Amino acid sequence: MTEAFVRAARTFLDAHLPPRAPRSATDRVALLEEIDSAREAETLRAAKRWQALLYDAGFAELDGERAREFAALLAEYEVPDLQPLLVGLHIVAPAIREHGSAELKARYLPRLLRGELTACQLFSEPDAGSDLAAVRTRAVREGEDWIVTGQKVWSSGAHHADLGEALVRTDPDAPKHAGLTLMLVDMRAPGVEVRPLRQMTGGASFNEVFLTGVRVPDADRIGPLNGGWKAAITSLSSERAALGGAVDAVPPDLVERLAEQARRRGLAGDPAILRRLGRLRAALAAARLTGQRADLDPAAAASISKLLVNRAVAQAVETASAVLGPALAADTGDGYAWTEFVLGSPALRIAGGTDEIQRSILAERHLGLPRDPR
Amino acid sequence: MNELRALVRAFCADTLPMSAVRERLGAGYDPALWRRFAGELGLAGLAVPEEYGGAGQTLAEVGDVQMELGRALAGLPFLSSAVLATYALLGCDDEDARKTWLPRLASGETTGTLVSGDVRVAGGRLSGTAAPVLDGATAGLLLVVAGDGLYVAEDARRIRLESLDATRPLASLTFDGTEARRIGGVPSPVPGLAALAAEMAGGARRAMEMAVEYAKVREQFGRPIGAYQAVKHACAELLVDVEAAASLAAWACAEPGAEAASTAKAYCGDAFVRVATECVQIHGGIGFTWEHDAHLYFKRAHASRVLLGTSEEHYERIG
Repeated sequence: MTEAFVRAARTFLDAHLPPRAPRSATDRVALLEEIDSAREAETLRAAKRWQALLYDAGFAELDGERAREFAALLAEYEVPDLQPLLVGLHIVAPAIREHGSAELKARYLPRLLRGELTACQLFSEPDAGSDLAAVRTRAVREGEDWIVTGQKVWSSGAHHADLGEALVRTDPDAPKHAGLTLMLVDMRAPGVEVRPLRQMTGGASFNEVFLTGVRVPDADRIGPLNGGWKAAITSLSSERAALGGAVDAVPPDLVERLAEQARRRGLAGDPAILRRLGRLRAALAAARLTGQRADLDPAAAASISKLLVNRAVAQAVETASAVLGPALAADTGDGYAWTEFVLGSPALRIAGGTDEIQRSILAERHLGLPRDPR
Repeated sequence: MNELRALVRAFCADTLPMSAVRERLGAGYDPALWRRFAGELGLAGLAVPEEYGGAGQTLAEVGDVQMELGRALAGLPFLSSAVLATYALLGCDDEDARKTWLPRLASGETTGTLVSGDVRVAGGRLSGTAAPVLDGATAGLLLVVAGDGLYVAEDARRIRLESLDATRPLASLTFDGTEARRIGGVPSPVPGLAALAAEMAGGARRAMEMAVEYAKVREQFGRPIGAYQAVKHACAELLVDVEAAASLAAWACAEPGAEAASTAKAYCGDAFVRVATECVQIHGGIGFTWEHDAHLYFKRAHASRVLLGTSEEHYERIG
């Protein structure tokens, strides 16, 4: 069975993708995929083409074992970057699938999953970060529509998104978790304004989104009125699982590339460097294996794996510093690409629920410790 | 938890509660208990093939047993006899040695251990000292690594060592022209490393549970200390350490290989020390007392981490 699957997958991949080219030591090694704006349109087109091929051939949504087998095969090919579609695929689609009406699912799900539509999240606000349920963006009913006004922030890909998954307040008098509704905003509707935010990396992959009297049909609501918190949790958990479970944020050849840098600098046999590389290998293996554990509650596995990825990334940063030395601080022509990795590392501890939030989740839900004040 | 782990957990709860572990501190294991472990449970020969009187199970099952023994801080000679000596015999070139010793190890009639240290061989005789040796004072079969070979030694001058972890007996063995028979090359370190990793992962889990249980009931400033993020987040980090250690130990036992074994041994050792250290810290002053069990895990963690090679040696190997 599995052999037949692997054969079919290989035939498909051979037909559509070139074999993976060897990497060079000077290639980019970024944690945050920041697509430069000149290439962005082309990257988006390529992502959509590739996702449509995957979807039509039945490889877009695979279960655990097959997903692993397929991922292993993918490593042998030059694979188009699906990054511009990930929010739609792994964050927005799961909420629609679980909470949306039949009509909403029919309207958006196939197009999202096929990569025809891209999506962004409109969750966080300037005063609602880790305390997401404090969102203040208001939606007021007007006939069959909602009129939405407020400010959203940290919206990755909002500048190219077709749809925004917005968490808005529909009942200001209800307790804060009970007055929220989730809805899909047409990002090209009048009143939607997207402003890029420049990050510490210098790039701009996320945005502020200003919503001023934006009209949203009630038919585009995800889940029940004032039931938005539960629907939003589905998105957050899916995001956590996608981020942590796959350990995808970390370049798969991270250790090999650091080892290669060590060799180029005559540090190949240095015991201190070998120990750092060994620790890093172990930390990455721990993150990867824990994310795949079948005997763990999936939510716990996702939170633990995310914290383990961040521990590994911190070790990778230390190792890069020890191996590269001054080449990390100035572009001497060899190794400066690692600055992108170092500069991206703080983001992983913040995005998708900060490390602190993950620890509270684990302590409360999985160890049974008292809840934080809310 | 699978059946095997449940069986060992029940056995330990019945025969080795902490009071019993404490009673034998520094005294070594109870031979009668090991005979029950071998006879009633059939676990002394868990990894011994059926043709030699064992259960013919794999390193994965060995890991299950070790996880539970580590959790209970059991001082039984499972690691020395049922893992190190057993796998050394299984991998050696001498069928006579296997036929002679494996059934006796499996039945619990005797125990064996693997002796590795500053031991030289010349003209079929061993000289030198190895320390510390697991269960070296009591083992009936001494398998000695010397030069590029593995030897069965007649006997040795044995001195029981005072040790940090009084739940696990260690000895110094001296050979002085001792007769020995070569039975093969240097045995693979993989089974011992993987099994020790599993044991440490099991110990770490119990230490975490103790810390979390205490954080729920100990109140200060009118609230359980586990309500304060400084403590509850520390507990969450322990869970991260414990599950990561369990993942790596399971990997090393399920897919035995040099990289997995070194990875798991080093990581589980460091994780166990971190968890046992925090377990004392979360208990505060009571955790530093002799009457509390936290120190037993702390000592087991530090003593185990430096067995079979330090974390640094193993990280260097896989780097």
